[in-house]
Amino acid sequence: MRRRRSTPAEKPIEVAIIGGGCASIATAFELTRPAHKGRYHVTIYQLGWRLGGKGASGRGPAGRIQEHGLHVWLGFYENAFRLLRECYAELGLTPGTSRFSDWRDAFVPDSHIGMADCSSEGDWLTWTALFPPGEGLPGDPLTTHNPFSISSYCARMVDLLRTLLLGVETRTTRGSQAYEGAEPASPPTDEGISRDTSPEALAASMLRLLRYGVLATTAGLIEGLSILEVMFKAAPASPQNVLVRFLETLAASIRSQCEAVVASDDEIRCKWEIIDLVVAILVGAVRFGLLYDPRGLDAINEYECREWLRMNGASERSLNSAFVRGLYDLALAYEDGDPRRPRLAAGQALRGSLRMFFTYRGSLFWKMRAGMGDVVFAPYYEVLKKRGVSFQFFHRLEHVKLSDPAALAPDERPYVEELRFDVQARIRGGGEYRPLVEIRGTPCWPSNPDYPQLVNGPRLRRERWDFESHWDRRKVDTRTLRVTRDFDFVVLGVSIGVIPFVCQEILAQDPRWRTMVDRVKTVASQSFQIWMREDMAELGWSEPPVTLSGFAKPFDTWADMGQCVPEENWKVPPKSVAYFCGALPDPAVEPVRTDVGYPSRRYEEVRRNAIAFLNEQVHHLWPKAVSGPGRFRWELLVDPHERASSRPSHQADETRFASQYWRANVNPTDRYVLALPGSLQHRISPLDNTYDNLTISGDWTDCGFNEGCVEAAVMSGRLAAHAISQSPPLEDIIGYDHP
Amino acid sequence: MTTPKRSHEPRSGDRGHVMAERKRLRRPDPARTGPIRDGAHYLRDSQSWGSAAPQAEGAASNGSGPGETMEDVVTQGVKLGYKVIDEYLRQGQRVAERLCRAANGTGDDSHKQRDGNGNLESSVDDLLDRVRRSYKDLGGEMEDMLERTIHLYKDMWAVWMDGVELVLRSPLFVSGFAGTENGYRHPPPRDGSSRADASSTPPPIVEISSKRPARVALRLTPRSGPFEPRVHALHAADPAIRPLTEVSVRLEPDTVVPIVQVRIPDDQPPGTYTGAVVDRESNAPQGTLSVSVLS
Repeated sequence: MRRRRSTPAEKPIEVAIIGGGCASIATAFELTRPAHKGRYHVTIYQLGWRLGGKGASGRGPAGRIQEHGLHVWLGFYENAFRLLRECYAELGLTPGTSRFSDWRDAFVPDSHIGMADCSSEGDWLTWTALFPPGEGLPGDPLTTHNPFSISSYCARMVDLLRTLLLGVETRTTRGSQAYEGAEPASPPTDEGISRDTSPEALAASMLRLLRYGVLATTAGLIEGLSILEVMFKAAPASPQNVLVRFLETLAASIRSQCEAVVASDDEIRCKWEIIDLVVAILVGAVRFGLLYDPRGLDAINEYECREWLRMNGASERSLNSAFVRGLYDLALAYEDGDPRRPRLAAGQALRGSLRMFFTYRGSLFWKMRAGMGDVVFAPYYEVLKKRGVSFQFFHRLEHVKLSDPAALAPDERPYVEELRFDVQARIRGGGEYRPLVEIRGTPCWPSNPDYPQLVNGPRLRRERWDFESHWDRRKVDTRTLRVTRDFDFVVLGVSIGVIPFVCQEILAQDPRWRTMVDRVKTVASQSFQIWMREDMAELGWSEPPVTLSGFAKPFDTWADMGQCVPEENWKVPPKSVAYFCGALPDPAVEPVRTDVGYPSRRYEEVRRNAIAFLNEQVHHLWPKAVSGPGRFRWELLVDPHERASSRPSHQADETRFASQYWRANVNPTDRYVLALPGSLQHRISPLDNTYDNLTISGDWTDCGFNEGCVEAAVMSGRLAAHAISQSPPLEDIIGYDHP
Repeated sequence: MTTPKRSHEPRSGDRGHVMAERKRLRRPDPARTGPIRDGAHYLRDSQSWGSAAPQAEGAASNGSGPGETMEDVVTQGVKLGYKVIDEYLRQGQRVAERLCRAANGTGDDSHKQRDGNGNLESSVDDLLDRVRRSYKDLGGEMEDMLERTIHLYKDMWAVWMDGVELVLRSPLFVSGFAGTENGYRHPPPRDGSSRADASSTPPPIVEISSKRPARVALRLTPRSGPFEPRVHALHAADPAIRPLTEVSVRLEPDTVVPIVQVRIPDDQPPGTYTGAVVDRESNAPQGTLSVSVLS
């Protein structure tokens, strides 16, 4: 590929990027690579005072990290990690000058995945599995071999079976016993055999091993039979019809037999459910011809994931298992936020699961050591500033104006003629807003604007202008950008929830866009963070730090984020930090834009949800965090406004929760995009050039991995950069070409 | 790199300011607007990462190694199955020992015999029968579990192994995966032709690796043309006897003569083991190979 060198006399191509989330930042990073030699000048127009979109975070009182939600990077985020690693390398920080001089300083591997489920006795049961380190690290060059081959996935499925059969640990909590100080049963040895040599214990060990034996033997058998079965089925005019019927009957019989065996043992049941699902995937992949279908896994995106697994033999028990529920929870895959309507496109769900479990490198999960804003968006901001990127904060996009169709030449495609913004605040002195603050030597994003930099800043603060609220439309000015005068290309990097409000002209004339907006739905989310005086062991959690899903609604996902505490600025640091999140049901009637009180009402709703959750549910995870049924120990919470020496009395009540942090992510910009069955084909690609100076960017686009996450956003951002500059090559966007 | 095109028509909206002289730019037409999902096409090495790519901090291989085939994967699956079963048996044996000690009230293990490798010689059935006898009065689920386990070991595992072997022999399996870009390719003849010439292909040579005497009978069908042989496991008449699985084929580099190598484990029971000789490419049967292991 030849690269074109800009001459000093040639003005750079002006690119206006709207929005400052992961996708937009990735686009900016690609377009301003040194290899382009200044060919593109990028300006990012951002609502409010901070970058990050759904990945934004801020520093609150005591420098505590306040996230938009729970963010964990997965070990298969090849594009996201690769760009971030390049960003850190370019930033050139040294350990002596920065706490995060290297990306490895900013991320910690987390190999424990946890799921919560109801036990056979009706209690909550949590299990954690250690996933062994994957070779290499995410973002390493793939110099030897494309990882997305069928053989690779099959091999990894075998590995998963081995991991599950030999590596799962189970922990049952008995809520009624826990705060009575009941001792757990004597633990088994690493080989599953109790050291207790009494006849009863030995008999119990034997029974357990026999159950395992049935499980292990049968799992292997079913795996073999399933492969055999589908191979026969795929063969044209197979003379083996009788054998096929025999095998189907046999497989069903064995499944039935195992169902009976595992029903009485929670640990074996957990393993069996996952094995059953893996077998169903193997069977379905071949039965549906996915190995050869040119559409790859997209061929089954019309099916709901559970429906498709059921069609391929997965048992009802497995379909309702913690594992499956956990996958839905991690993807917030509840239409309209309704927990009774879990919906996830089968093909994308399978693609996501295959990528998640079989192509991770280093660790299954990677947790950030500080806020996502601090370790991701602040470094990007600094690198992009060095590269000459301009940032226009406090710009809220209001309208994308298209060219007059009547004025187009015969061979000319429609294009964006104007971008109209509301200016939310002006910067004193007319310069560029400086958004970062330092906490313990690390550049961070604050939770609020730096009002002294703003014209009439004290008044804006006094009047509580909410710069990130969709319903707060106050502005100090308007601004219109025009094509050829202010920009050449536009990258629309806003959330899809914003499109109906800013792209009315496009929606009026373009049925593809209308269908996309109609079918690609989003969901609101709710989250809260609590800082506590006791560590997890003192609270009764005896497992390693974990990211756990499948737990009680509405906060079904929990992550122990204790690794962040040293980066905060407490005089007496809390001993533990926990983040919870889940979907937030939408109201029956969508609020109108003039309903300025809507966010506050939802915020209050989340507060009540969190208090009820802590009182009623959290003891299943932390049995010692309650003083009795329905009584969370509110004195555990650390109030950043209290003096370090003061300790709350044991009579502290739920009002103490007000000192913690919670969010109702109801803004269109905040809503999480869903991968509903039958919707993904309606997404539009960043490569689409219907409007020849406009490209879209975000995890809601057709970006190859069509599910809301950082990786999808970065892939989309790279695609948008490719649409403008033809760089990076599509083959370089890892996982874009994928079955 | 394709350069963004400039519109030749000035726009009515073009006016003044920084970019007043510039004509509107157009994006180049994309080569494609969607990902390649077809497994037949997406297999490729990622070689386009430039010098800006981060350096690998560990081994960069991901998933199966280069050249790994579906057959390798299934073989790995079979090995895993054995590993799981071995692990189960090992634990079962350990518990059985303790159960027996508990039943005898001593730590006496004189009833056990060990082979040269230190492994317990007791068969699975013997072991389970002994445990069952010792604890028959436990009744209930224990008895049921024992029956299930014995049933699975005796009947089902053999079916599973036969099934996998059938898959490995399936023409669909071979044709479906052997052609992928990463699939293992038999080394081509030195003359560059895709297959050995009929008139120049000598019959295969069979090499036996065994500490005990063995007889070999290779019978090829008279109408057999040139082919690259492949031999799967050699089975005894009694399905309970484990087959000879270490059968491989290589081409003699200089003469392109196929050499079938069979390794006979030291503890392989005496008997006659037979398997099909097939054309590696089509999986069509070309004859049989019999190895008689003498005592």
